[in-house]
Amino acid sequence: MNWLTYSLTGALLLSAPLLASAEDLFFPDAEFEEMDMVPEVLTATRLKQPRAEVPGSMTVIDATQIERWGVRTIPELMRFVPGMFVKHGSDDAVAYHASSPSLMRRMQVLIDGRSVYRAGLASVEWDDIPVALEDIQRIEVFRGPNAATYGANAFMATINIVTFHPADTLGSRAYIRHGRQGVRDYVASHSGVVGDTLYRVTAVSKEDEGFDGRTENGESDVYHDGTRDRFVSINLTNNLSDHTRLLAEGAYKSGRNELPQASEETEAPVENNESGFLYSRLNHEFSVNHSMQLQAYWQTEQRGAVRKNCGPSVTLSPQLYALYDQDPYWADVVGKTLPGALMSQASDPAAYAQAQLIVQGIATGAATPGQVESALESALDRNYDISQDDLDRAQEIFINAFNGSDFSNLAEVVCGQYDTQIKEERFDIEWQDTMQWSDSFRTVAGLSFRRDQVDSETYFNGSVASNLFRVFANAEWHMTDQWIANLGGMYENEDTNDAVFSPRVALNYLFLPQQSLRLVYSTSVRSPDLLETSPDYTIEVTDVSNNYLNLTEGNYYAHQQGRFGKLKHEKITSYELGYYARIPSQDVAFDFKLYRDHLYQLISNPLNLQTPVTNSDTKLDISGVDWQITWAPSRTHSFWWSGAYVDTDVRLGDTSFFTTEEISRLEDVETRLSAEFSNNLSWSFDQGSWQLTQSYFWHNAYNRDRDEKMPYRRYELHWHKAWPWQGLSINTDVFWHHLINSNYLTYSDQAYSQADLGYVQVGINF
Amino acid sequence: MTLRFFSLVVVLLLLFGQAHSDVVILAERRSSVLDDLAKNLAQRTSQTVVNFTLDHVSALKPNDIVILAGEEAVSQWRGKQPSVAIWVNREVIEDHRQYLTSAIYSEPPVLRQLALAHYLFPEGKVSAIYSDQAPPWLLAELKLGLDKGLTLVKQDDAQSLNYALKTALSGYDVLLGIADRSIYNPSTIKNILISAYRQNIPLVGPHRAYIRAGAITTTYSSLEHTSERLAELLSAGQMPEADYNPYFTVMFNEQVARSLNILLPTSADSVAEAIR
Repeated sequence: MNWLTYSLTGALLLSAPLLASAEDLFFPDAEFEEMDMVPEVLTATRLKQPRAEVPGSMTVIDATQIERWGVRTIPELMRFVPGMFVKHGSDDAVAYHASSPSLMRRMQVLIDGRSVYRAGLASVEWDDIPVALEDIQRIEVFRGPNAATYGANAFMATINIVTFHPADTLGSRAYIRHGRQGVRDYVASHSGVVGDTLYRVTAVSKEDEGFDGRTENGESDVYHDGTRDRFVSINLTNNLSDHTRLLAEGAYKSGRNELPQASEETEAPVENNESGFLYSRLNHEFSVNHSMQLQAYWQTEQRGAVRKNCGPSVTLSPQLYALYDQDPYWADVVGKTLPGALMSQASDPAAYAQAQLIVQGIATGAATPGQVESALESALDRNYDISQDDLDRAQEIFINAFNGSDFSNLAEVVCGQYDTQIKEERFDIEWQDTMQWSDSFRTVAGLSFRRDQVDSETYFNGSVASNLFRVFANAEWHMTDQWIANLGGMYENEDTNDAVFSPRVALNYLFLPQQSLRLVYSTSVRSPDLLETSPDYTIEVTDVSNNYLNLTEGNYYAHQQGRFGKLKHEKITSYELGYYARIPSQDVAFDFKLYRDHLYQLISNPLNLQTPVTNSDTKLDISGVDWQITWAPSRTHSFWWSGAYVDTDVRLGDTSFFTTEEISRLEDVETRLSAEFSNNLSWSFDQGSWQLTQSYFWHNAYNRDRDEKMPYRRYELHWHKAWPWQGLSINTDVFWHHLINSNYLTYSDQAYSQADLGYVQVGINF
Repeated sequence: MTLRFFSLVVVLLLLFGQAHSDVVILAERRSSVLDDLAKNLAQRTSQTVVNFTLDHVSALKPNDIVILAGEEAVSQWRGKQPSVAIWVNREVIEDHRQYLTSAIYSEPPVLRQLALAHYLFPEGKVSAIYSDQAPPWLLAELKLGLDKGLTLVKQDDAQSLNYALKTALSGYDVLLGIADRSIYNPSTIKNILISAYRQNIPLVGPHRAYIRAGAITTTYSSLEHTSERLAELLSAGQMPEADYNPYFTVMFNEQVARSLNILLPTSADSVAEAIR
């Protein structure tokens, strides 16, 4: 259910009765003119909620701001939102206050009411969203949990992107943008009218080379993370009648992402992706007080890379695969640690000798579980629980590798390849009804059904689907002129997860029509995705080179079938005290938010093959302040200042089998993207014929809980000038981004070899 | 003697009866609104004000002063008596000018509406859309607006209203509605209001009828104002030419203003006073 909070749940009509009676009083001649023939257009159900009455914290970035800042991606825009942190790069992640940078899964993202949150693997792929920044009319960022309106996964925040109505973009435009880091962007768009239908077609091709990697100095790009994305999108709107309108959208996208090459990979992998969607929405007004919306969409995406790897042959042993089911940590020792040590005779003779001893001891049956356990625990900093059965199974594997004189087969390296192809599909249908019951009471309620389906040999060994039913209702009640209450909730029932109900209660007190205090209690959940609920994640290696096991293909021993049991919903409970004020004479607006969030049952470890055990047991308390101040003292100048103070407290659940390093990584993961203090300042100067916007970001450090502090400081400049020429407008733009700190960002490969990035743009509008 | 006196009285009565002129409000049909107007006007002028419907036109005395209320009355009027048209838009009045002595246009003048827009949005850039159907007097008024910072956007015949709206809304802060009926009419107003609202741009005017539709403000003349102006016209030795009503106040659509985050002045009358 899109735009509910801001755009649809709305407005109080205190003055309505006054207006109705006014009509008789002031329109004496109404019956003699065409008065009663003019329809009521901006009806109660259509009016947007006044800002001071919004039941939560909201940051709105509109087309003017997007144009001023002139950035290339949506995540870069999100840096201007208080409390938001962005991991740049090919898999951009955005976090509000705190979250893991590796997957963007605690935020809902909607484009014109369509969720771009992935169907199978909980995350948002920003690069794959087929929307041109120039087509965006505004982005409403609802800061705080909002499952009552948007459902599960509207967890820490919701980003609601609304594109322009084609009527607002009539005409054509095109531009080319070239710059450093291989930036090559081409955008063309045309909007027009055919009969009663307005349409827009936009085609985009964007590419860049990403980060340079761990470069000390020099110009070389040693990091394989370039991207190329191309799409065509269509928007059609039609007023079927005075009271009914239809919107249809669709897009096709194809992309190519370079993936960083792992040390065991023989070739830098490239992921190809393809996606598309069809969307339609029907709005109908029964009366000025009653309207409904029906929307349905289908979306599909497919991505995959062929990865060519080399590793110990033993990792493909079926016996080791079986052993992993029994004790993954022990299987890691047998398949990875011991063979690794056996390969390092030259570099680490001590480890080699110890590994030889353990292998021989186990193979001959001489070693006892206790001996092996203590040897491992002293060498590897992990608690093991080795049984005689574990040793027997390892013995079998080692004997298989015995070549008659030694166990050097365990150090034998085999090469092969596997495919990570995954196809995700979603079908969603939703009906929503808005009713203004009286001048002071209105509701939005509805039902929806969603089906998510994934198909992947690697991740699911076939296909898996999940059905989701939802019922929701939100009510807005103007108790008095000053007090407004918002009550809402959503009930969700999903095949693959427990049913949940997420309520929200908010109270706004209006000192003045444009000044309010708000008190909000809200909850939300993130549903475990299909990989977390129904994984069958096995790497099937083909084209295997010669090996002592005589395999031509085989399964990598580490795999995931959810042996740790069912993961629970991640949950959040949030308390918020907010203040909003706008002083119209100065066009200055303030918004402050004081909050305390309690997150629990968090799944901190992503489900992958490096982490055999995943639990939903991390707790995270976040409290702090967000601020946002905008000021436009005149037409020439405008200022934007946003920032946040974030205080986090992470408490891990069961870590009994984790190494010290794993524990410390896990403690960090939820706050790796967060800065304790952040400030974002922007000043736009509009001279009329040219505009200059300068922005400055100062985040005291990413990884707020780590010793190694990495401040994020940037200065960005955008200069724009339009040259009218023969009825056309030629646009020229210069963008310059200066990295004040040369340190890497969240991950150590996220570094540039130069401190100045930039690009130039030439375009035409007609 | 008695008879002579009586005859004189009759003659005098006849004479006075003939000479005595009534103010007659002539409308298509009866309405309590007309009664209110008659009462109000009678109080102001101390004249007899009566209501007639169109089918009683023949009962008019040659020296009556006729107030034509509404379009139907104006279109059918061919009488010789002095006449004032009210509650009719200027376009209709211009069409029947030859039969009318005077008139009060029902719509507000462009410059007053522009002054209202400037008063409420001092920094705002104001645009107005017009078509080639716009009557000459409207074009003349719009031309005067150009000097006061108004930007005019002409709707091209070949293109839909959407193109004009795109031009008139991008880069502007206020849309000024005008009495160009091919732009503003009950079937186009939805598109105009929704397009402007989508971009947070308020519509001023063009007429009080559009306030309920969603225009944010307009100036207008109430029954009191109409009556006040009529009294002025009736008392003038020679009735002035048709014109706008100089008496007016301002009306707002508060819910639209709230939703657009626009803070309106608390007193509509003081706004009217300021732009008078």
